[in-house]
Amino acid sequence: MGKTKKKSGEWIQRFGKAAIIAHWVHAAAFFTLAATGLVIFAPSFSFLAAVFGGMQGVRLVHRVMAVLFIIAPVVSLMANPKGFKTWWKDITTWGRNETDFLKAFPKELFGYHVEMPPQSQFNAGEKINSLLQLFGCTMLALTGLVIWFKQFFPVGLVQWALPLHDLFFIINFCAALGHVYMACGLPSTRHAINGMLSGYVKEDWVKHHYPLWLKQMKEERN
Amino acid sequence: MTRLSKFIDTSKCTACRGCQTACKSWNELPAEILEFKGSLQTHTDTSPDTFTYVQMLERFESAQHDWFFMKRQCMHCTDAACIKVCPEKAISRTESGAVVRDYDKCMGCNYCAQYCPFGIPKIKDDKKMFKCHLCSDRVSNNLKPACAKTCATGAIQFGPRDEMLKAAQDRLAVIQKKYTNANLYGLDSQFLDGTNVFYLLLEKPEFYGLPEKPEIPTSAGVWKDVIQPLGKLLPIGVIGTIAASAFMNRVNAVKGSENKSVKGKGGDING
Repeated sequence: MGKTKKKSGEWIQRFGKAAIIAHWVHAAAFFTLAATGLVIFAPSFSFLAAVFGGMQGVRLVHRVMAVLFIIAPVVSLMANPKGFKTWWKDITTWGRNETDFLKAFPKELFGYHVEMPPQSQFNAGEKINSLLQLFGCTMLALTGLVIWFKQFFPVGLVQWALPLHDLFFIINFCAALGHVYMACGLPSTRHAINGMLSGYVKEDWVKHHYPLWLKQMKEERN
Repeated sequence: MTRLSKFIDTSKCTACRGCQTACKSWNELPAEILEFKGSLQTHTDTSPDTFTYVQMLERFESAQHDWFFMKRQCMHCTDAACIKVCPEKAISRTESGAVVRDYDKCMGCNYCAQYCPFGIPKIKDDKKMFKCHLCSDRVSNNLKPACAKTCATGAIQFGPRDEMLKAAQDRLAVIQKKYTNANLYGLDSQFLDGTNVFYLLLEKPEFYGLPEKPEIPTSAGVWKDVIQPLGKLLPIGVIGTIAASAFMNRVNAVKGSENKSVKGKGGDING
């Protein structure tokens, strides 16, 4: 990462191939899991069962997608452990800039001009989303496996796995809604989607949103 | 409608198992071919095809042999865990107090089976839950449940709860002279606001493998009262915020283009 590439102006690579593929496989699995899960989670979405050919179809699709959901991030971790480490290091670094970012963010969200504190490769909001997804997806996978193979677990554990599976679904689903909106909808941040499509984002945009990352890349190059 | 209860007097049961047969007959359930386990007891658990079975326990004490028979079935709890956890609202209570499942609404999710303190509901082929429905079809036509109708010794009685309780208390006073541990199981004051199938037991509940104080698991309450409401509120809050954000961004963008002197986004990056 950190290479530049001529397109219209300078473009900077933000994500590698492995991360992009893993992200989209994981995202597709996540939303299919959500659609199949909603059938049981909320009776008003029961009609979705017909899309998958009834409850038996829902069950099968939910399990197949669960496997992809678990495999995608694991494979990407193994394919690029260094990139994963860089990401992990960045999202677990928290300081004054991050706290100030969260304080200023509501104004930016509603379209008011505001000076945002300088951010590293990932801003404070992205860091929170990353941590939520990492923890939440692990919990969804673990509780899901307990529910799937319930005959091998004590009934008390299954009784807690069911509500926790719901809880982490709610949290992760809401985080994902916000994530999609900010990546594709919110005018000040929607350029970010390019990073997950081609892997590259404009240098101008990086200068404005992630100056510390740019500084870090320049230092590394020198 | 008055609350109708089933009183099972285990002291009168002879394990003839007419109730098992009557139940299969009325509900058109097939016989199950099971493995012989060295006991006279035919079934060891309920199943989608077996709503009730007679549990048979033996005791040898001071050179005396004694049988303890207990007809097992759904207890029809007033505060029922299965009703609480069913995500499709497929399980409900009838006016007379029976806990019944709506065939069309049931999705076979298995939650009721996981949370029932008595382990009664069973799912057929991952599709539909089956259990005793206290012959709600018969009862709504002023008939007794099939098992109560067929019981030859009067061990299964069915009628208004007050009358059943009175009969149970009178009988308990007699039985306690011989079985000092005899007790009534399923009264309103004991657990789950009472069960509409209640027993006169000759021994303590543990002897039969029954929970002494069955309760709805805490996890079921957390799920229903905290997590599920959160599941409605949080997504609505997030979607509302996104809609407000999209609207405000449009409003502010229009304002910005009307007043060109205002510095646009991304102007000052070193501040």
